[in-house]
Amino acid sequence: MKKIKLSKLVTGLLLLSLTLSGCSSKTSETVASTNKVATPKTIVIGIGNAFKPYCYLDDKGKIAGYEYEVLQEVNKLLPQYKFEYEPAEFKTILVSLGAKKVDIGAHQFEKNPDREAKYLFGGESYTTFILRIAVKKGRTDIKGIDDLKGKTVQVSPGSNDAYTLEAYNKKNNNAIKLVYSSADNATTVKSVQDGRIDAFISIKRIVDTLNKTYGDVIQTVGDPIASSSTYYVYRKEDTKLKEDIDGALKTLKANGKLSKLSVDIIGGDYTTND
Amino acid sequence: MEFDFNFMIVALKAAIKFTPVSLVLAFVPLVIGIILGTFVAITRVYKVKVLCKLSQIYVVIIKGIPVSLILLIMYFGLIQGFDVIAELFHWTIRSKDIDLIYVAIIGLSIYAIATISEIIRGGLMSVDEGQYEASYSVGMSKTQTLSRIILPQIFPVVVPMLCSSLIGLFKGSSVAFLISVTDVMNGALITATGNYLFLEAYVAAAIVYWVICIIFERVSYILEKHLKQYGKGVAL
Amino acid sequence: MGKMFDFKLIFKDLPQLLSCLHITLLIVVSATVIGLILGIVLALFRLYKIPILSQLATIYISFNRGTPMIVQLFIVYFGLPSVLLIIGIDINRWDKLYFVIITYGLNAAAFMSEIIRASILSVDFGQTEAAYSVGMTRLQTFSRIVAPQSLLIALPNLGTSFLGLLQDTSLAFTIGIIDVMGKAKAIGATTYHSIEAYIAAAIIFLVLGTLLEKGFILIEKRVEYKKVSLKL
Repeated sequence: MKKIKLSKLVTGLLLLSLTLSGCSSKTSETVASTNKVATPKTIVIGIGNAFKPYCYLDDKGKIAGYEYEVLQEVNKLLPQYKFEYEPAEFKTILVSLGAKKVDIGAHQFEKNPDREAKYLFGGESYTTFILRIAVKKGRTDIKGIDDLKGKTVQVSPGSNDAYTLEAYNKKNNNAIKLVYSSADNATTVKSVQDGRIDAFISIKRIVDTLNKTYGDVIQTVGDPIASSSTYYVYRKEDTKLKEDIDGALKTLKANGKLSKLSVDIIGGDYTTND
Repeated sequence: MEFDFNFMIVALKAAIKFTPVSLVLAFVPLVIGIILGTFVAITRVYKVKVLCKLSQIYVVIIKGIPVSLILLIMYFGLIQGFDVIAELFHWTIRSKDIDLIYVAIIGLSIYAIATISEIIRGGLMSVDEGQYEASYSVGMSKTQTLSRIILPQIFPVVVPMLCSSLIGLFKGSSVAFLISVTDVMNGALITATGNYLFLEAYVAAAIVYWVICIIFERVSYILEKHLKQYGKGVAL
Repeated sequence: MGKMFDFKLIFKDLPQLLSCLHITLLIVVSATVIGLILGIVLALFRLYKIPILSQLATIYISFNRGTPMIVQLFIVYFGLPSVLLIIGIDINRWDKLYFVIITYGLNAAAFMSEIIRASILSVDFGQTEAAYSVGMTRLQTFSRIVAPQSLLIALPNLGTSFLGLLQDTSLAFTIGIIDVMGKAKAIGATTYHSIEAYIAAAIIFLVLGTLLEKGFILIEKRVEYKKVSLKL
């Protein structure tokens, strides 16, 4: 349907442009594009807006971060698509995807069988998210996930730290007390300092930034409790889109561009699977 | 788009489980708001010397700042202050042992006092001055006038707005999640952690909210009808 | 090394937030206008007990007050375009801002219609009787006698609604609209100092609220049919 309308529009505009003088720049753009093989298909990407350094808004309100940079590179390799970005909140992105308002979800989403029932996940991951336990600096009693038994840990809903700990609790008789919260960083750090919660889950990069911002207050302990790969999320029927982007990601991994972006923006090469 | 009804039921159950939390976070601030809000409104309408200005400042400031900020200030400030006092008096409990729901209740109450006082103030101003004059002329004191003549007359006016306030507080209780208090909305959303089915969770929460709000509206309507018998009928 | 709370940041955040003020004001003012007009219509439906319309109004008001704003936003943002597509109107390309304004306007209408209904009901029937007895029509009675008196009660509540809307605009950030509250959240996410940003936003809202108060006092003085300066 769209293609038929497009060719009608293009023919009509061609005729118009021949007879009219002083065309608007829009018309001349469309005329120019008819010289290409096909106009790029617009793909709307739902990208996060409050998760530094992955996806956030800079001072001028423009989208910035790792997700954005990677997708820009992917777009360069796939000229048949034109990526447009819609920043939104984590949960809203998924609702938008289902409602066809966006075509791809990019917010460090992680996959599991439950989620794969409804959504299509990419085949190639583009980051590895290494979750660690974060506690008050100087604390020595917690060294690993088993030490969290009987302790209180803060998690945020929808996140993989919640999922990981919930899974652990299922196998261990709900040993860890989970506190769900949408608290911002300052509140979380304060809670840990006060002793209200014993730990929260984070990645090294964010913990380093927390320490830089607030003073040396948090440390990560023990081995990572989970290390999962992040993928882009698509609708179940968009298999072609997924294949194309997977291909592009493979290329970026092979030529080292992905690693470089990872090192530049998130401080280390997190692009290979652990 | 497909909609997973089965999961929505799961989310619904979780949402219902947290309904008491939301109800507490709505009713307690409402009651505190009515009691103290009436007091604040009276000081403003009667222009009681010092209290009038203080009340005005209180209402304007609290109405203006976001509720989330009130809660955050409560959390940081109160906790800090509490610990200091606890050290001073050698209490054994520390702030970390206080259930955060109390902090949320205090924060929401502070907000409720400000907004409800505006409702009461509007009601007080609607009563004809003749009522005040008449009751003074038969020798009633200010307190008697207020309690026996004026306040009963503002009920029919004030009840619908209090219903709106209650609904606002009930839905707004979700802001308490900022300080880790889980309410209906977030209780539902938490269940979608594993499967990312957030839409179903939102819908489940919406159902719970709507059903409870319909109950509130029914009760409010019955109250309105019952209290109208004090009035002479309405302008339309 | 940083601190947990940096007072200076509040002043650093203020100009950034002010740059988004026009969006907030646009949303709030438009929504208030839509809300008032639609609210009056809905209130009249219910007050005059017009069949069918009155029941529809009641259901609409109940739904809008009873369901969370984010669900209403989803319905308008995701659902409305699909529905309108059926009758051939494509609004998918509309700026997100319009969807936000529509959602807030519809929501405000529900709450405001209750305020208006309550304030009209509070006007004494004697006023209407007197107006009819000197030969005024229904419309004249309403517009010249009843409405101004109902304003006196409605105003403080409308003010609260307006200020409430100012803060509720934070919801728009979930679909990517950056207004004052949204900017505050964004700053919080990037600098990890949320409280300072919120305080800066609060300062802006306080100024707006105070201006509003002054405005309302002026309006109140003009519709003072009852002497509010009670000789008590």
